[in-house]
Amino acid sequence: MQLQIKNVQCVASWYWDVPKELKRDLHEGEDEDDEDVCGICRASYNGTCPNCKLPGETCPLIVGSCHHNFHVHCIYQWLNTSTSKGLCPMCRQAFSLRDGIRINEPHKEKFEKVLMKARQQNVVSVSGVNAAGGVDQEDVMIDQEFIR
Amino acid sequence: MVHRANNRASRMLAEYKQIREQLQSHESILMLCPAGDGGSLSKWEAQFCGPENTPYADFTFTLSIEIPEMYPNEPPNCRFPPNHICHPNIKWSTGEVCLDLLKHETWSPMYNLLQVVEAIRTLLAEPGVDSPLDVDLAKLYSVDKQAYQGLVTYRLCSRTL
Repeated sequence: MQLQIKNVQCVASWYWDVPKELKRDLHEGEDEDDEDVCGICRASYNGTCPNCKLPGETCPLIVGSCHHNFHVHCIYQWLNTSTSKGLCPMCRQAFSLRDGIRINEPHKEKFEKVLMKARQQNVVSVSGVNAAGGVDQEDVMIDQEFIR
Repeated sequence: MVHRANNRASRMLAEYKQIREQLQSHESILMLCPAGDGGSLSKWEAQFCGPENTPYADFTFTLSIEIPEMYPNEPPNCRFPPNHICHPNIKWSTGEVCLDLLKHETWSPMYNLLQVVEAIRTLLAEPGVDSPLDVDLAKLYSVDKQAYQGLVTYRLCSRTL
C-alpha cells in the first residue's frame, strides 16, 4: 500500500516556558532569538538530552539557584562525576535546585543525594584520602534507575 | 556505557555544526576538523598560527585532540606532535600540554573545542611559569625574555616538518 501525505495540520505545539528572570544567556552577546540550549549537551531545551527519545515531561528541565538551567539528566550526570565538585558547569557556584519551582520538585531528593556525595568527595579529595569506598555500588543503582 | 557514547556523539555533532559556522571568525585557527576515523567525531585535528608578537608568530602548529568517552563531562586530551613546539608548559619530546583548563579538576562542560584551541593558543603568548613542564625554559622566560625568544625560535626553526 502506498500512502501519500497531502496535508499536515498542526493542532498543538508546546515549549518549555522559562521566565526571563530565571535564565541567563549561555553566551553574552548571543542573538536573543537563538533557541535556548542546554549548556551541557548543547541540544535545545525543548528537545531531549542525548539519551531520551521523547521530549517533554520524561526529559524535563531543571532550574538552578544560579539561574542556569539544564536537562535534568545532563546536569545529574555532570554532578555525578567526581570532578564536578557539585558546582554549576556554567558559573562554578555550588549547584542547587531553585526553591519554589514546581518543575524542580520531583527531583529534589535525588539531587540532594548526589550533591551530598559530590561535597563529600570534595572534602575527601582536599584532605588527600582515597575517595574509593563502598558507596559506588549504590550510586550505580541510582544511576540505572534514574537515567533511562 | 551506551549513554556516554550517546552524549559524546550528539554533543560533538552540535559542536561540529557550530565550528563550521564560527571558524571563519577565528582567523588564527586555520583548521579544526575531525581526523577521519569513520566519522565518530572522537578524534580531531587543529592547525593554528602562533600568536602575534611572540616567537611563535611565524609558525603554524598542529594539535591532535582526542574526545574521551565521558566528554563533555571530561576534558578532551590535547597533544602536539613530538619535537614540534618549545614552550614552558609543553613537553618538547612528547607534545604533552599542561593547561589548567584541560585538567579534570578545572574542566567544565561549558567549554567547547573552539575555546580549548583558543586557550592553548593564548597559552603560547602567556606561559604559566608557576607550574611548568619545562622548568629550565620557564626559568629562562622569567629572567631573560630575549634569550627565551631566541631559544624558542631556534628550536622551532630546527624542527623537522
